Amino acid sequence: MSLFPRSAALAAILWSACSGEEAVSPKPAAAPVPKVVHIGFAGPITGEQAQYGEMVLDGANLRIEEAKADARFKGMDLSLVTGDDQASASQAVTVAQGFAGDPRLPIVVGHFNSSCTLAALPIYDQASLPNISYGSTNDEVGAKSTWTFRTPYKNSLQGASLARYVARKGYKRVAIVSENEDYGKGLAQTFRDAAIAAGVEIVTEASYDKTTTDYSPIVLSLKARKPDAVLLAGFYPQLSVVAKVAREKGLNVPLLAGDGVGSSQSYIEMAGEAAEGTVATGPFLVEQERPDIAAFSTKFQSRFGKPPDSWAVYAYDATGIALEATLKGGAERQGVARALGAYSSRETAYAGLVGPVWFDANGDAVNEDVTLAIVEHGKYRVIRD
Amino acid sequence: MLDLLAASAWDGLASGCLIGLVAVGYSMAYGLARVVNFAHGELFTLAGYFALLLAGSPTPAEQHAAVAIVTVVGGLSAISMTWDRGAKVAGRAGALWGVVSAVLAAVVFRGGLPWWLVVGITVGLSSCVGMAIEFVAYRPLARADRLSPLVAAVGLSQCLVALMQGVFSPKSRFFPSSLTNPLSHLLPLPGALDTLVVTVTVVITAGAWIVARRSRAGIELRAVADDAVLAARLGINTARSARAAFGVGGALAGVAVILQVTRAHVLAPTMGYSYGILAFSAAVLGGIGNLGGALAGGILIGLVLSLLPMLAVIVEQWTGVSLSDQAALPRWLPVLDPSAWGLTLVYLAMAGVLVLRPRGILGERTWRTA
Repeated sequence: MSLFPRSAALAAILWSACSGEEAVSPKPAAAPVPKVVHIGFAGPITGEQAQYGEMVLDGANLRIEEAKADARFKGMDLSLVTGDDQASASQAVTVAQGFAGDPRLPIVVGHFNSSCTLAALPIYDQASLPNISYGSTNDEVGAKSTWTFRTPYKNSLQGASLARYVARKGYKRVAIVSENEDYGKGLAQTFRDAAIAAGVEIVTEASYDKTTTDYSPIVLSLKARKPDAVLLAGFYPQLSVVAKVAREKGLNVPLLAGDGVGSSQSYIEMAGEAAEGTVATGPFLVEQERPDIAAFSTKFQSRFGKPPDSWAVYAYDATGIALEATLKGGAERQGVARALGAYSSRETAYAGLVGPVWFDANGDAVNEDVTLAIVEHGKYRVIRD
Repeated sequence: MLDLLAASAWDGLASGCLIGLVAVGYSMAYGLARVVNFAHGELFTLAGYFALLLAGSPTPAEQHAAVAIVTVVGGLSAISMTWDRGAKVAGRAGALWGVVSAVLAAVVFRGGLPWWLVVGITVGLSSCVGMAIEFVAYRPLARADRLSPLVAAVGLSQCLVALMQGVFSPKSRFFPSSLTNPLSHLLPLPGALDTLVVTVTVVITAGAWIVARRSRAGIELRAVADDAVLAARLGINTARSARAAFGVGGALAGVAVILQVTRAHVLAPTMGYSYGILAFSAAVLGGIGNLGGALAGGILIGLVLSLLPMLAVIVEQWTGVSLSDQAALPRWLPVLDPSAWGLTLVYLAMAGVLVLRPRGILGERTWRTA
């Protein structure tokens, strides 16, 4: 693409944005109110972790549909431009390059996997394109770029919570199975550090690739080490299989997991009986009784014919933040980034479904809440941490 | 410990047998049609989805898609089989079989079939898919240069993945228990599924050996594999043997995928790639074109992948050092994760075989480089 049409398109958008200001905003606002708001949305729409992709895309789309009915967005052309990273870091780079070169986009919502966000953020950084992840919990995500924000907590919070649980239950020997990418490795590392500090022995750490077609060798080698419990650091489309195989091969010890499992009903549906007794951290449970979440769940269910999981809620909130920031920042990358940075304290926080969301200097959501839940009779039950 | 080692070996043997059955498909396609059929992994996956829909409760959209796919596949395989008799006959046969397949598919793809019917239909269908692939992607390129069929293979495999993601959703799925339970308990033994896998492989191998040595078709196939030009001069129909290679390879992939998904619980549109690479490596290890070698290569890979992690356990118990703990290891030694190193070892072995023994570990000369 030559430079000229791109800048021409940009000029057209800016012009339409300026004329939009005259038409819609009566008072002299800081930034022009945009007419066209296209938001990039990146996630694992296909590939081995497409289960998440479907949930988060539905969550984001629901938020866009709501905005269309909102008077403040009246007359605007709102839409999501989706990019499928297939949960693969190399694919995430391709998606990010596409977004970076797309002058329509003032912001990207994504990515889901930590490895994808980490791979994509240098490109967003170079293009000065603000991006807000709704799923990446690897500790390093926020600090690596000033243009990267995220709404979930960090892995270290989950690792510490799980390690406290292990110590309290008196498990002496714990084995770790982790997915060979940034989320799994990051969670395994934070758990390992916290567990060793609490006097727990880590008997082994085995890793798998998300394309693995047979988990029995790993499971048998874990069984040979006679652990008291096993930490599953990865994502449920794979871990539900690991849980099934573990029970079939007679590895009948408690399973622990992070939010790659926690609060996703699909894990329980896929693993069936094998899921019973799994203890997992999660941001919160969709089933928990809060009127706003219950209302969201009902709406989601009637729109998409299935209950949401907490990642759908996170994507919904991140899309909401992106919309607000675009409204304030004027559909222009610098302005949107400034608007995101302005969510800097509890007082100025975005009122999300997950609770108030605001960012620290790194762009990480300030969040100390992590829920610990156990699977009992096909449902998650919150246990006190 | 010893019992776990034995369990691991048995597990590896079963997993290796299945890799081997798929590898035979790669090897036959190479031996008889001189193509590396990289779409074989996707054929394997597609057969898995056939079994899933036949045994489970498919949605109306999935039923329609399955009927459409089966109509095309049925028509194409009929055309492929009658192509020698002229375009007119082939066209009629294709149309007729397309309609028949559509009607049959509309009946069977309502799902809920008993396991033996699921196995039978899946194997038949995947054999037809194999023949259709040969007819569409490779036969027109029979006289093209070597690169063209390879490009066609990669393109076809991408198309099939996209088709499966679009039609059956990109999410991973499991077989229903109405299929997995009977298969798991077919033999009244502990670890019955793995025993079943090994038994099925032995029976198929024995059958194939007898057919290859005793029947006219088998002798013709061996002649084509040995020297296609000479065989053609002697009046053997080489196009028919190429079709047979894909048909048999497809059928074996159908058997393998049902057993594999039943024992490992992974069925996703993208699984054909990773499983296909394993099977292809097995075929190369055994000497591509050599069917016994492909099976042996598969078993070797299965055993390596399953015994290597156990070997690490033994080393750890012997030395008292955890191989996955950097703090406990000498500084010059990186963390060794045997579950991740297994694949590396397999590919290294493949590279080694290609360099040192290009005809495979068994070293038998089964084809001539022209």
